[in-house]
Amino acid sequence: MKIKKTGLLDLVLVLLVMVISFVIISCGTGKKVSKDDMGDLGVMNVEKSGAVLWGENCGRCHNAPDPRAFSDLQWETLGKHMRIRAGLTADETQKIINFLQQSN
Amino acid sequence: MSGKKLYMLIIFLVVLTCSSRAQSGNESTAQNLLDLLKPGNTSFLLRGYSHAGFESIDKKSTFTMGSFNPIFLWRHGDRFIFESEMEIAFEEGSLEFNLEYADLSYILNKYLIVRAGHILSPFGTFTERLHPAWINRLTTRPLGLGHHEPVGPTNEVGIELRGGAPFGSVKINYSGYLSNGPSLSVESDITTTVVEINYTNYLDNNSNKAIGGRFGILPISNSILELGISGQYAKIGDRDTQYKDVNSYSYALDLSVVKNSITAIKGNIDVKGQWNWVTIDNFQVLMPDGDIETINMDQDAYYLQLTYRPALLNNNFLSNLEGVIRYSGINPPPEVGHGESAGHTEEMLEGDRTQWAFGINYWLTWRSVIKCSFQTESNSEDTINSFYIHYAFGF
Repeated sequence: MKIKKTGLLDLVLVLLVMVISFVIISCGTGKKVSKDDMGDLGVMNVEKSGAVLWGENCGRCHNAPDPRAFSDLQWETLGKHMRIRAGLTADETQKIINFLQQSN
Repeated sequence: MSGKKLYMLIIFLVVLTCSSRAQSGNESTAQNLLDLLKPGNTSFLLRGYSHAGFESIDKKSTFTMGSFNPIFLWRHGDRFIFESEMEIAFEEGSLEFNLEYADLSYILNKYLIVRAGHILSPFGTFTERLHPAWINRLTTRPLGLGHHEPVGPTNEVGIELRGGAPFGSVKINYSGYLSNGPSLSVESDITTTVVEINYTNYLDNNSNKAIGGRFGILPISNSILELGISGQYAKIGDRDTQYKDVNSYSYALDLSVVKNSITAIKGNIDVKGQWNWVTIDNFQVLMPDGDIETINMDQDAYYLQLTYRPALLNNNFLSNLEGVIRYSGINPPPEVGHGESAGHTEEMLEGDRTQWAFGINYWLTWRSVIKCSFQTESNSEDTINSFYIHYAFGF
């Protein structure tokens, strides 16, 4: 295997970008729900809604689409296309399709 | 009953019958219209993307068509879907038609999909997911990940099993395939010898089939991080030649970190990266001068890209802006040929080189963007600067 000929400065810059990105993300707004915060409910396994999955998954490659952009039938086809392309799970794909169909 | 009353009764019955028939006719017409609006179980969708703009490469400026990429999606029931993408573009002064992919998928169950035909290689994520102009944050593709001088498989003909599955809060996606694989081309005449690898092998050049796949994992429950590893093994030489046992091993690592609505920085962060490397058994070639030369075709390419969009700012204009930085590099085969390298123009550098690209994008809608970028690319001898302003629209 050939060793990359990346210069030291380039490598440092690349690593710096990665570290800054992770630090910023770790300072994000994600709310941690501890067992104590939930009182008597203990640890809950909350299923994500189609709206949440739409935001989390579509945005991994492109902007999350406007639900009004397509009809119910078109969302059905596009959802299957994206399941194949992006390796989405069957359940989350169906939830996203349902959300888009209800919101268009 | 008098004659007058009889006539009145007949007229009444005729009117009643006509009215009843008319009502029935209206209901039938309405039903027919409703039947037309029923979705059915077959759907054909023509979508795609396009981009065009202005470029200045090494102080030579031109307006450019970019490309027009229609995508055909034909869903047949709940399990079959046919997908195809064409690329129509001007390349080096002539109109080129390329078939990016054309494949048929069948959803076997919740976890497996079988796909056959001309597929985008599941090798890293850039080619399969990020190459469309309205998704790629910069006008150009990273070095070694475009049509020109690809490092590793880009698209191929074969059959594939793929899917995605949850494991608690972790998700995985996976793909395994058999394909015709790459082919090795060695062409010699009196003055030149050119050695090339062709990754899109429509008709197999030998009886060996390439085997490959990708495994991706999203270890964090909100899917902000995805890590992937890909590989492919193939024999690439033509049957009945001295190169028939030449092996090719291709690998890729990919990374994606996407976090939206971070209040601390009032916006979204997107980090993408990929590293492809290919090792090929050394082989010997008879050169035009009679010497026998050992050819080493090992190669690698990589990129890392950071995107920031201040989406949480109250100002509409600023919240639609996006800044991009990308660093990419390529170490192509040191002895790719002894003659003109295919596809090179004088505006392109050759050999080992790196590239920095800086861009500012303005999103008009979720699927249309104006992209401005500056790019500087260097090898050991020269540097080429270029500027791009493109409009891209998709889906």
